[in-house]
Amino acid sequence: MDTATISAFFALSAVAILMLVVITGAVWLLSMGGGPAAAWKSTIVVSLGDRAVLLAWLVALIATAGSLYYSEVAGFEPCAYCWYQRIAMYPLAVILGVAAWRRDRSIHLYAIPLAAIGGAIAVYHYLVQRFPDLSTGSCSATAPCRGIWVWELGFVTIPVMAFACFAAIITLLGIGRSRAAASR
Amino acid sequence: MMAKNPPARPSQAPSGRRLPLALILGGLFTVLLIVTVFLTLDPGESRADEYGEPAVSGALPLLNPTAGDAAIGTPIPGVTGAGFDGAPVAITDDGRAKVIILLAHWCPACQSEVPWVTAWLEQNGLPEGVDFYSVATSIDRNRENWPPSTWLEDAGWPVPVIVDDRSGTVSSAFGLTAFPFWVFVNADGTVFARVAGGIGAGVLEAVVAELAAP
Repeated sequence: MDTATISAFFALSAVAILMLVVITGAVWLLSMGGGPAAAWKSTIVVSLGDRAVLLAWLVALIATAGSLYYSEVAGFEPCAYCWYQRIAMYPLAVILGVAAWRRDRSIHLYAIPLAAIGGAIAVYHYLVQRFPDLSTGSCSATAPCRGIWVWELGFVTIPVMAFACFAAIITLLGIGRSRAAASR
Repeated sequence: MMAKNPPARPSQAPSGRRLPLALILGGLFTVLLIVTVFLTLDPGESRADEYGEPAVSGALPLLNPTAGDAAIGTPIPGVTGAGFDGAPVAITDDGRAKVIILLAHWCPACQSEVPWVTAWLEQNGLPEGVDFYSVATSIDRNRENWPPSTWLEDAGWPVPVIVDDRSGTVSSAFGLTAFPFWVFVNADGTVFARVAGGIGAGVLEAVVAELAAP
């Protein structure tokens, strides 16, 4: 399987994840007014709640593996913003695993801020890629933040994939927290 | 007297049916895999890599913008290569001043530079005794805006192009540190100035005028 195929799969997965995150967020908002959305929210919480940290760990693990694939196998040199996102994602691949194993219910306190910072950097990195005037007027010859290594489906770049993973982790930890709060 | 245990509170666990998560995730994974296969099916004709085989003699040091440019006043490397169509193009010490721009197809700064330089050349042309060359370098089919031949053709790029090789021999010889990379050359074949990054039309006009001055 070549890099283009793997990138296409990652891009489709990122879009699917973003759609699920948006749907979940919409259900949460609508459930405040009661009605069927409240029942959907319950279904999501019951279905995912107990396994939310485990799923968040899997997302972080796959994101970490994906970023290492791009840099170590595909040979895409990570730029400064890529490294900042890695700094946020790589610890999540460890601490979420430990939290899932220990059934730590307060992991969201540590993991959500980390994921939010990573997500914010991913958004800025994507803006720099799409609107290069936000950054300096040149591209580094070795690892340009403005350069685009992957371009799929007309809008998906590596920062979009990273953002999808950070958003999924935040959403899953939010669901896990709802489940824990409801069980108390 | 022992205190009574408080009555157990009823559980507030949310009611709702549990979805078959493994089935849903497995199904989603399968659908994504199938769509990926369809998206990446080889359409039959895949374009060949676009690398040149330029020959280079001499080299400039890497541009260090903080310490002054040690290359100023030193002879530029000689480059003999070819354009995308195979037509030979050479940058040699021929007694004429030169403007050389090194471009990477995936670099947004280069993508911004090409249109205004094209428009500027169409409007102003070059003064007598000054030539303009470009080098297509850092070519990578895995990156966006590939192939560079199509990009430059679509942009109506009027400047002769030398296509660099896979290892960027030409860009290394000019001491490139960032894209776009400008090299301005005196008529005696020495470096007048090097700039890493985009420049404005005003700068280009001023430098070209200086190079053309007797």
